[in-house]
Amino acid sequence: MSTPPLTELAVEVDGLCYSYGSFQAVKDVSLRAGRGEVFALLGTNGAGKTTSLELIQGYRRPDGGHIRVLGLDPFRDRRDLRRRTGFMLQEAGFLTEMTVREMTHLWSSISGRVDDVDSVLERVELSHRAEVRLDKLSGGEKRRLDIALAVWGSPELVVLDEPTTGLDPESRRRLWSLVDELRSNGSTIILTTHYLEEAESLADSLAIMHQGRVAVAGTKREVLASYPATITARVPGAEEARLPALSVVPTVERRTDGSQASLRIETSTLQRDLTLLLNWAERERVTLTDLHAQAATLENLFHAIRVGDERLSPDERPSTDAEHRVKEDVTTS
Amino acid sequence: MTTNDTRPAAPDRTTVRSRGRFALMMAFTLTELRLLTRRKGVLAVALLLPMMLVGLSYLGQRPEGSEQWGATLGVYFMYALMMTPYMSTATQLSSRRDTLVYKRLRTTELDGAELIAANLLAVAALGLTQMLLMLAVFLVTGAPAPENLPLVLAGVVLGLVLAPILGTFIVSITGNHERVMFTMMPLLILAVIGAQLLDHPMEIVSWLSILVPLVPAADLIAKGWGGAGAGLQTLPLPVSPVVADIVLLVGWTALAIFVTTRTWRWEPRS
Repeated sequence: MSTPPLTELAVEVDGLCYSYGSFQAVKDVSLRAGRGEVFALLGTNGAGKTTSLELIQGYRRPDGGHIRVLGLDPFRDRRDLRRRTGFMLQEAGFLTEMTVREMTHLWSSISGRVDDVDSVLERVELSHRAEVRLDKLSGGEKRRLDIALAVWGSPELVVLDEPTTGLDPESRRRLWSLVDELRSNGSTIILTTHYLEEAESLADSLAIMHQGRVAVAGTKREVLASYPATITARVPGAEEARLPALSVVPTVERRTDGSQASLRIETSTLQRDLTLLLNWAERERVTLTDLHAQAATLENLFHAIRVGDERLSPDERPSTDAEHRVKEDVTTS
Repeated sequence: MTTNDTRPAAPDRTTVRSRGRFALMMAFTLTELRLLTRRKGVLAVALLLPMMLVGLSYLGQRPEGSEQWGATLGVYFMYALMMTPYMSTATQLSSRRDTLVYKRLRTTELDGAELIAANLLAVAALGLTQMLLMLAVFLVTGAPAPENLPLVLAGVVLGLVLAPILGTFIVSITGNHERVMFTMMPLLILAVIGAQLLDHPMEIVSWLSILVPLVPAADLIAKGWGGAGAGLQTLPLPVSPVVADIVLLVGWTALAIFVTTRTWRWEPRS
């Protein structure tokens, strides 16, 4: 995982630990998010991402480790940090006896950041609902107001905890463009989501947590590179033995009658191995049927991490060495 | 992890104004006060209770002499303290907590203690309005003027501080809004009974009654209005009842704050 210079870090977490009684929810977590980037924190259910987020927000005092957010200690300097941070929680209530405009005005009156009520409501397309009481809003409209309050005054850091849950596809796309706009303005965004395509589309860097640990972290490219790409094809049975020397040994599955063999090549050098394979097929006049080549996706990676968990006993579980873990998952699958 | 070099190091639209904690807290207090006055039930109790108590003082045996007036008004102010600052705090705070409003507000610059304090100030302000209204209505309808107004005010102010804090304490030991209706009842009943037993002929009864939270406020109001002959007369301690009242009110306030800060939770429990 390459690290931006310290002065460019918005969030810096090292060796973070937190327990609820005897249950260790966060185990030796280390994360880096650079200023002005979108950082996605992903994880399986109960992975510890909400606790990590609460520690980053200063709601809990860590049992161990070190956190700096915008250069501040989030627990000790909560007040200063809140002035510079906008939060959109997974679930939080409104004063439902107020209207949309009144709620936004309240936010204005208890925030050190300055913004304009009308323009913020316009950004989330709630201007036409400004005079409506909050208990009359739909779920999607409430979520949009959540966003409006989180981005009030264009904070330096915006924490979005599952922001698009409950939004229709159109509203989701609008939120994505708002996130892009915030990033363009220089805000750092920490995002948690269950939608992997959302993380893939928005994030500059990400971490996937599993059972309290960071399973893999880095830029999107680094993270995806930690999981092999896949080439699959079928070749006539007799040709399989003459395959070229690839960077990895392919998995070969023969049909019972020996007429065809299925190849599965998991490689970290997709272009090289695909070229070798195609050149060999051309040279040897072999027809590769059902040829597919696919770079790793977050879904592949997420699945590998999750499946690995089911096969490993807690004592054998690897630490935060992401690459080691993913390779182990692949070799055991 | 890389950052795009074309992006600014910090948001170019962020404008921050320097505002003190008190200013932020007062902004939230004013909002809560505005919302309290929108709740018809709260407003009805706040405004109609004084009228109802005046009516009671005419319908029943009308007090005679300042001592009787003092004792009666001590009990009536006690009712008011329980109905508005105590009950409104308990119901409002538990409702805010159940609907996760506090969870959202804690993401702002106001910290937890400031949020609760802002809420309590709003309720106390409504309670003070109610008390002043009661004071005015009783004076206009023939009650004698208080013999010691500062003592009356001390009872009102200390009661207005303790009652919302007791309401907060009740919320802190109660899982959710539904249960708070039951958990606030024992103290309500004890205080109302205690205020009426202050001048009980059996000394042990009056000594025990003064130990109930908020009853010392009723005693201060009774003595302030009706003179030293109203309310509690003796104590098994070498201190005057007025000093005992003040010490007890301050003590209950400190104890309630101490326990509440240790038992308070920001989210409801089932």
